Amino acid sequence: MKKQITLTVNDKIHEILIKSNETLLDILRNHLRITSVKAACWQGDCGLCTILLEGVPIKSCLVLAYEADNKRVITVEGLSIEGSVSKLQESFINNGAVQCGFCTSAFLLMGHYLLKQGKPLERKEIEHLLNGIICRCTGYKQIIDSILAVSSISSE
Amino acid sequence: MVNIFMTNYIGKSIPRKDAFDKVSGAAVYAFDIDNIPDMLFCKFLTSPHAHARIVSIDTSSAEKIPGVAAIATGKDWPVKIGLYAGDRDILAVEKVVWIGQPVVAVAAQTEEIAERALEAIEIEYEILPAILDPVAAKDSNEILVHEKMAEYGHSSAFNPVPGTNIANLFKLRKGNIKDGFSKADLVIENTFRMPQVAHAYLEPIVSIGHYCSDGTIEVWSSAQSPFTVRYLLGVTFAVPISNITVYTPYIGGGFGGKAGLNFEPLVVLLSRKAGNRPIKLRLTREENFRSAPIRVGMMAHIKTGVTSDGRITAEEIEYIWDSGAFADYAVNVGRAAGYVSIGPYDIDNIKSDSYTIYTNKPYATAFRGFGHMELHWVIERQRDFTANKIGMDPVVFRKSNTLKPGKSVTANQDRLREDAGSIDQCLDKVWIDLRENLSKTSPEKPWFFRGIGIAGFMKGPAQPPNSASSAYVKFSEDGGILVSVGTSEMGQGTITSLAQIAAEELGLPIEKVKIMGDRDTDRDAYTWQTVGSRSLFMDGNAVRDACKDAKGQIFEIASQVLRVPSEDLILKNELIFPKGEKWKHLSLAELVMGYMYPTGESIGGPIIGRGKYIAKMTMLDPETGAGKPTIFETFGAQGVEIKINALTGEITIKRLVSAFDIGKAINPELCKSQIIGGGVMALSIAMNEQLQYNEEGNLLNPNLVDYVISRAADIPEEFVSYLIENPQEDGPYGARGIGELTMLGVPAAIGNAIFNAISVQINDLPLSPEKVWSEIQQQRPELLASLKQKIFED
Amino acid sequence: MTETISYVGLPKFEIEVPNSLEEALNLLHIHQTNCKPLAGGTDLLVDLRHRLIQPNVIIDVKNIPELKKLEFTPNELTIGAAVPISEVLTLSQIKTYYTALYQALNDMCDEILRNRATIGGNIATASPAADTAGPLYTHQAVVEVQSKSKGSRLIAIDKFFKGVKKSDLAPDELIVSINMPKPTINTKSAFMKMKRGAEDLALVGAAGSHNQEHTYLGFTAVAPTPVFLDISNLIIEKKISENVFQSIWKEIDSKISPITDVRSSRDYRIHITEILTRLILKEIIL
Repeated sequence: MKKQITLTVNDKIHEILIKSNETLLDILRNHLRITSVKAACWQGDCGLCTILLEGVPIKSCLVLAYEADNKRVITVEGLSIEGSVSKLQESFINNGAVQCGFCTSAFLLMGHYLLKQGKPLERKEIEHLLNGIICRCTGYKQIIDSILAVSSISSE
Repeated sequence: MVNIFMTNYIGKSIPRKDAFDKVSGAAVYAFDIDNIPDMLFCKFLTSPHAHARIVSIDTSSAEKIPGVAAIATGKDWPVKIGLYAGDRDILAVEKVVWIGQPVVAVAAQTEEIAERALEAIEIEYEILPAILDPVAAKDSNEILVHEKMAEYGHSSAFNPVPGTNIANLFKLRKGNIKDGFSKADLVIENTFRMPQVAHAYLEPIVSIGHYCSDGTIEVWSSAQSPFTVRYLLGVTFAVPISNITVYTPYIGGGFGGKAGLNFEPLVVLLSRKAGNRPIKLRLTREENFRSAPIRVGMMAHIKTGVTSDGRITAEEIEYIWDSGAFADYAVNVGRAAGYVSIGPYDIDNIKSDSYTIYTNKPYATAFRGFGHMELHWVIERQRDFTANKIGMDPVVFRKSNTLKPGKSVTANQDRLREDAGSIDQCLDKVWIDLRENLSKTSPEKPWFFRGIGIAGFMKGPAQPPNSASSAYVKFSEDGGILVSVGTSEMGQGTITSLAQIAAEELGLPIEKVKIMGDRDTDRDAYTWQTVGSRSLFMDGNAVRDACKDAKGQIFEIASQVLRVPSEDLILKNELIFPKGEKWKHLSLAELVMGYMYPTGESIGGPIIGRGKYIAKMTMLDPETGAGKPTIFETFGAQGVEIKINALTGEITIKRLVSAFDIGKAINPELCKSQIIGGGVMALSIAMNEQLQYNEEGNLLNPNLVDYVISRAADIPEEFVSYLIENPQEDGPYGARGIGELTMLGVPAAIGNAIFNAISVQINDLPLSPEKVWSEIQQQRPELLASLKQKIFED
Repeated sequence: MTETISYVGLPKFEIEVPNSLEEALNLLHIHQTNCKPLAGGTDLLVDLRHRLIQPNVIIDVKNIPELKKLEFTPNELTIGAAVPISEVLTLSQIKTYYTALYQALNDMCDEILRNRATIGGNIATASPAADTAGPLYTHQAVVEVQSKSKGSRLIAIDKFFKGVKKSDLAPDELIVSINMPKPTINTKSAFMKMKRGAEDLALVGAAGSHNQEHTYLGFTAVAPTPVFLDISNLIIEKKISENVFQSIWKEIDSKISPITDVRSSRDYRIHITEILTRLILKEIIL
């Protein structure tokens, strides 16, 4: 069964012919070629395929593509503003939160979501909220530092 | 020599060169390459048996499925491949030797079609008895993983024993072990173990192979060492090496797991069978766990003789390394750990045998630390054990035995150089910090206990004596450069440090130094491999050499133009001028493409600087291990403060304190990133990680939830990192490597801290809650019983 | 049997998206065992990928109003079967009145998956390790299920689980909601679980609740189904002593039969069950 869906990705509208057994991850990577959305387990353990669906983080390997019909998706490309990186992306660069980079997009999207909640964030709380994404290189500390750094700027 | 007046970039924490690509989502990995024209996708069928003879393979119905382009079996190219020993089939030929071994591979229009083809393939096996335990395998000549070992070719650095499961035996000998023990007041014996673990790099292994119709080969791979892949592909397919190109885009983590040759021959073979169409293989996580190489397991028996005043008189060790089905890097792990054996100590009498053993399990390869995390788990737990028995402070005891300049490194190897760095300084830094900052308050519940522990260690790159690196720098019209090196960027940050070295040498702003994050064996300068914490030292020296070469060429032209001898010229801030006469300058831009006089007459020409570095080592004596096995040793120490819940066995790490004598921190923040990242990886391995098999050899936890790795909430509350800088004269700006060192002491430090907290000795990893509980239960049942009662009293 | 093929994509199926309960029940009635309801998909898609199930039809139940209900009335809490956990957690009364459930939900899977995972899905999967099972019992939950053939029926949570991944649900039945009475004043409840790191399935889960009349305990991952105990008769004078504990433990010990697996040995599970029981009793009674 094929079905046409309408998907808004980073403010661009796409009409895509999907198969019923395709996941949102399949669509983003294979149809739209947004390769910043990574995958490393295809079953919700690693969190690398995290994207924002209607502003909420979800693991796109566990969402069927049709479920995203008429919905808005944000990937890491959607965080940059007119060619320059966002404050959080800059904070990742300056705080050494990047090593191999394979998990970076997922953490940036999750960090962006947490900052958008507008609540003051504690280190322990951020650790707990980031448990759904694996990083094997950085040891997480500098990722948490980067989010905290932006959080403290915006709360000033 | 360190040039004092010119340090614009050395020791500066500039942001990573690859950071923008990675935060913007633009960085491309082999995983992402889907747009090669005409590309097909590969899936393989794996062995369900740990050891079995292949009776028949029927692919006839699979071949009829529309969209299937080619099906390969082992018989299509039955050459034995391997890094140090030719013991491996591309696809199993006569028999399968572990559960997960690829047997049949399909190339099809889509992965989905390939999966359907696999379902249609019938394989008949005759099951053979399997051997899973390396200790049993070492002494077995009934069940052999490789009964044809005698026919295999192998590197002369290794000593396999045909008719057994011994893939390599490395011997280290010094002094007289009997005499040594006779001088001891106390002899302490222990057995330590570490299970096999997975690298769990996040980018799964990806290989794309294209056997072109003109006989050339193109490969895109998530490989750490593109030049080694190229070389071994040349050997495998008997193709001139220059006809092979290996591209490695950004790598999503490697940690040694992508260091060697993995699935590249398979996709090249399939490409040839599929009418020269490119083939992409992308492992799922389960395939990556079951079919890709993992880290060795280890068992060691150690016997240490010590005098009552704390001098170690003798040490005898037997290491057994579980290599799984193939030798791959594991024979060199056994060798490298073998020649270090006793760690950063000076002991007069040593006897060590290091066995790498074949078993019917996934094969083991390199892993960050290359046997040294394992050996220091043995040595550094044994040191604390010993210090405790003779009633000495663990660091005082260590320091009365540590390696000092002028002393032989382990057994009759090279003398430790005067500028080698200091293990004692590392131990002191960590121990003082741990003790001064010890938590002052008592834990909140009676069943919580605090403890501190420390471990010292050393490691140098394990590489062959002729391991070499090269680099070139190529100028653009504005005086900026492209630096080409062979070492890969898989997260360590080396390319940023190498760019800093080039900027420093040529007096350029870092923005005008371009260094690529991907590798292309046609475009880039050669390096042996990206392993062993060797790149900053080896490739760093090559980059420096290339910059010096370029500078020489620039000065030669400038000397003609300015009519000043070359040796009187200075290059600074993109200007060339005679010493003391800054106003007489020429700009780099005026010179690097050739200099044109006002008349139009031109001299020189485009400048390319060429540099190289080759290791200065020797082969080791097969009977004693004597010789020079490394180009440097980096020393370090790590310590932890932990809190144990004795009721459940759970451990929380309060502080992780590390000190490394790295000679010179080219980029201190990058060093600290390595220390934190490696520290957490080691904590994860120490506390939870293990590949678990059932009796048939089937891996029970081939995914990222059953195989538990550290998450954000698992990390220590505090990290403290000390960078000690005793420069090494032949290192670039005095630098030594650090990448792997950041893991080496963590398991032993936690083991020692557990004893410090609750007087329970644990010899086997991982230090999981269950393990800690079961040891408390065995060693201190009364403690557990009394604590249980305290729950209602508290 | 060893997996010799590792699938990356999902098998073929059709999708139905009913907008009413009636429509959904009709579809379930037609397709029976050949269909599976989809709520959050966090278990379903994993099972599909591994070919553990191969239904012809997936019925997305997220558009059915009854399954999206989240309501706290003076008498009762109703959680629709398709309400994501993150949404359940926004209801402030959860933390106040249903502490054990709150603690379980707040630590279930991870922050991202909680935006999709549902309590309905957690119990429908009927895993022996289902985190919500213990708390639901201690809060005396009743599951409302409906089908075309049998209409509506209420299943007490302690009658819901029938074996490893087996529940009392008939193939054509759909979980509509999970309902819990408002607890009497002074009820205290707690949930604890043991896992190997920050992100792992529970190797033991334990929940308890206590008030004037009743004391309930619920355990997961210690038997083929969750284990539920009413120990009200063992709690004398609202106190917990070593003697009282021993009599409670005797009951628990006779009902649990943990296995050894990758997460834990049987012995450690028994030990942890004991420790968690002690800690929970202390928390809810002392």
